[in-house]
Amino acid sequence: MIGRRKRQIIKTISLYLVNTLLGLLFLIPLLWMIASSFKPEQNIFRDMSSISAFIPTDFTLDNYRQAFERVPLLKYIANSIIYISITLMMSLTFNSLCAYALAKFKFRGKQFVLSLIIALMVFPFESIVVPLFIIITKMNLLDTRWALILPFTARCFSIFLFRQFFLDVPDELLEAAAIDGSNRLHSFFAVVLPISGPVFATVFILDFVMHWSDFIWPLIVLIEDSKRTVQIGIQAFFTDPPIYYGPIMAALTIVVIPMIVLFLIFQKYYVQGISTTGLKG
Amino acid sequence: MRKKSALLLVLLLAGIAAIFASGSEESTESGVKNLTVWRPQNTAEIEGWWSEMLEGFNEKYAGTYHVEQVTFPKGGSQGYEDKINTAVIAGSLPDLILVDGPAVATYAEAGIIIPMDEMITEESKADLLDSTLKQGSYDGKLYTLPLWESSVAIYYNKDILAEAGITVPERLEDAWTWDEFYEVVKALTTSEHYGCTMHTNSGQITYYYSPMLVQNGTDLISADGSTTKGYLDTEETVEFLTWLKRLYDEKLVNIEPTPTEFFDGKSAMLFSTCYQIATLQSTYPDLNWGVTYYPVSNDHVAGTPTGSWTIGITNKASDPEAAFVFADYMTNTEANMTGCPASGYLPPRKSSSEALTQYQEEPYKKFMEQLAETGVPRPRTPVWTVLNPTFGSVVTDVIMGADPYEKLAEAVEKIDSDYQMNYAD
Amino acid sequence: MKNAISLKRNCFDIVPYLFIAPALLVLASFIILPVIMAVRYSFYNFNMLRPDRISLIGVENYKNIITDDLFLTAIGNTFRYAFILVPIEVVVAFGLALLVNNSIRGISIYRIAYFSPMLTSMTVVSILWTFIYNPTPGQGLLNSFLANIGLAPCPFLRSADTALNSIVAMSVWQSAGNYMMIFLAGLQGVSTELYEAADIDGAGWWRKMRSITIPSLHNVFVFIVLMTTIAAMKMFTQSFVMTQGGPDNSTMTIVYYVYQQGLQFRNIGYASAASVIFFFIVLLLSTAIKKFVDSER
Repeated sequence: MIGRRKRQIIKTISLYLVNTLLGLLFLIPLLWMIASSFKPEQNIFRDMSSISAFIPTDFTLDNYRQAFERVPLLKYIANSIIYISITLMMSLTFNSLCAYALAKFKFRGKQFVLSLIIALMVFPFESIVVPLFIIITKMNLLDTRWALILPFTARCFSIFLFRQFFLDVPDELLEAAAIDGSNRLHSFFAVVLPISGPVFATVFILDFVMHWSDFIWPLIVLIEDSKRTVQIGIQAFFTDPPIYYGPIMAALTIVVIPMIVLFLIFQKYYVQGISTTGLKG
Repeated sequence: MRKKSALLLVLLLAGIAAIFASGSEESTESGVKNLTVWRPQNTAEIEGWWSEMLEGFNEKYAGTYHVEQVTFPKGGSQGYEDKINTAVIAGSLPDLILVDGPAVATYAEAGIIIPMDEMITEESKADLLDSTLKQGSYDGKLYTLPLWESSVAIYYNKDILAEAGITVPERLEDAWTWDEFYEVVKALTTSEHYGCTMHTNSGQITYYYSPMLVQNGTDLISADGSTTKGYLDTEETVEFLTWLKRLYDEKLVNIEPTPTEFFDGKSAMLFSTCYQIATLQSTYPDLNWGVTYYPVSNDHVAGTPTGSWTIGITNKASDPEAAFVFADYMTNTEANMTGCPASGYLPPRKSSSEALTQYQEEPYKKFMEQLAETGVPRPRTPVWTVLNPTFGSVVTDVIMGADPYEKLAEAVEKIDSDYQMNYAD
Repeated sequence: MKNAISLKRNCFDIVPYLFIAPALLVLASFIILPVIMAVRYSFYNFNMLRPDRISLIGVENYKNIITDDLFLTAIGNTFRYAFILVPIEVVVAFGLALLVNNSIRGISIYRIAYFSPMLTSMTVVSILWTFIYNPTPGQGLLNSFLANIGLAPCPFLRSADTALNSIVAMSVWQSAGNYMMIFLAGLQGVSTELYEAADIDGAGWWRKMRSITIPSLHNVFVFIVLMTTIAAMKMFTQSFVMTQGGPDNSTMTIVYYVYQQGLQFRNIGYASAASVIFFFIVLLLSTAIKKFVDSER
């Protein structure tokens, strides 16, 4: 038994070792980004071939000042949050209602709708950007906030996740509500919603992270600087000479912060979400 | 959960409030003509000049005209042009737009900008430098007016060149040939510094290098702008590409130059526009530098880059006459007097070139000389939007080792088929 | 659906349709309608800046496109990207999942470390790695490191031979953590009884891996392979931010090609034909996914 214990200890130690090494390897680019954002431009280059690349030598906030001077970073972040919030407010409603009907109601054409949604789940958005661009143009929505919102107010994958959850809601609950005489919309809000917190949180965080990273669509439909999303804003900053490392690193660091905050709040649901993706999807 | 839902709700409500709050932006005073101009963002100096000019204009014409500007970060490959195109489709163009010289033809051909011939005075038109008049015209009509002009020359670090025992040409006719330039760059390259800093930013490549094709007896595209076959895909172009590639292959030039390597003494020379003068004078007063001419072909044929931002009136201008008043205000001699020095670019008019005496002296003198004597405007063709990035990537690809013949054949195919598809009769 | 709430049978029930209407309306107008339009435009010569010249040209666009070397290059690159990326990504993600599938103290910190690149968006990552991949030692982090250990600098994004592979490496780094989480959930679902039985049989680590772990995760593997493949087929952001499709078109992907033709050069008809072909390529792959989903039911 002592041998086994020893082996266990060796195993644990080696796990820590390997994990620490690999973990550092994964963090190196991010550490470099953060450290570089806090040091003068020439230090970034000077320190590059030594360990001080990851230490903010001659600490300064000047890069942040420059970044904020050159681009309205907070405006971009606010824009992204506004678009995503409105999109999600609508999409959570639409998707959950649709999923609820597909899970709990009987109606003609249901099977068709269900297979349609499953078929569209893996549909590549990229293959319709060109005609979608024309549609948005014809709707007079180009360069408006709605162009970033409307097309994403329904998402097959979210409908699917919601439906998985609603299928498990016991019918007795709903029947009780029906006997009370409340209509189905009311019983959805009064009975189902209160117990659906987890699935809403999951869909919310998955969609939020996805839309936060959206790139090709906002790149196409937005014109004015004041409407730009975070990703488009920093990409433009990155290509606008003169290209100095420091201020760009500062901008990147700032842009990452909202995601980290959100992740820390919703960590559990996020992990749950991507896990169920694999197991049920 | 309750806390999180509350947080969510607050976020959502804030979002809605914001989206609707910013809905109404414009308020119009009665009787005042409102104008809007779009332009790409530029250096702090140029931004400052624009603000002052707009203020001046709105004051001068208070009660008659009022102009607002919308600026776009340049960003992305041709970000600003993409935005103009998007606005064309959306039908949301403003009254005036800034147009980069070579794009004039594309916009004129598509009817996006309108001719100014009937509004401009003969006097004002005659005052424009030849190259700028050519740049703003398409099909015999004048479409845009230049804010300023530009040229490219070689900045050199006097200390490094003195150490290496190299002297620079002081007269236009003595400018280094391609071969001489190569030898100089080679002699100047040490472990301490590169021989020269050159641009590989693909959006700028056509501007920097296309005159070299003209020097060598060819061009990017035929004079009528309809075909690149027999122009772009020639031995002459390959010669240029091979010459340029050699500088990179032998590591005489930094493949990914930093913005400050010349200023920091990490590079002996800098191949750039007149704009750098202002930076050098204000930020690097200790650097001992000079300027010499853009290289000429080995047969001593000269040809130098020209062109810059111009202002045009769009087909959506509600009152073209009013728009012209503003276009003229921004580009007349008086505007040049403040705009050119502020931007660091060159005066585009004969009158302002004379009045601005600093441009007759070093270091600007050499740029002005080139502009007047050897300026080659970029080609005027409606397929400029395809030609520009395509030529840019040919140059970068060849530098990285691609076969020049293959890349040029590919480019010709891409550009000519776009012309055939959209512009051929 | 035996348990669905019983309804009055005698009249048409409209309520379920009201529930699904908003979502379906959106899907119809912003996915299905564009698909139809893409197919329609693909038979037209249509440039956005020249709406006066729109004309029906039959299959001309398709003819031109399948003989366009650049499009073929784009398809080749996209498949190459997928074929290199997918195996590496799956192996790395699975390996990481094995490493963090235990309950040693502080393991969640390691999980977050592996996962953290996922929280930075692809745009941020692409910008950051353009600096990391800078070809000059002293300007790029990786080349400075190579120079430190005495190796020659690698051009990374600046050479047609290495650009696509460099993007693969970065993309694996960015998203391996995400798939690791999916694997981890799968691993935690494998019944411990199986392992205990194997322990009694005296089975070694490799035996258990081969005859218990991997077979139990079969579906997860298939799912991840398909998801990573489809994600790889859609690659755009990295090429757009880091290389603009170059050098020598080595990072030109199908989506980039569609973007360039349709939204930069504004040839809507031509780009639509490319989109339709792209759609069919992905359709083949997603049919595989659907089969997998069905087989699981």
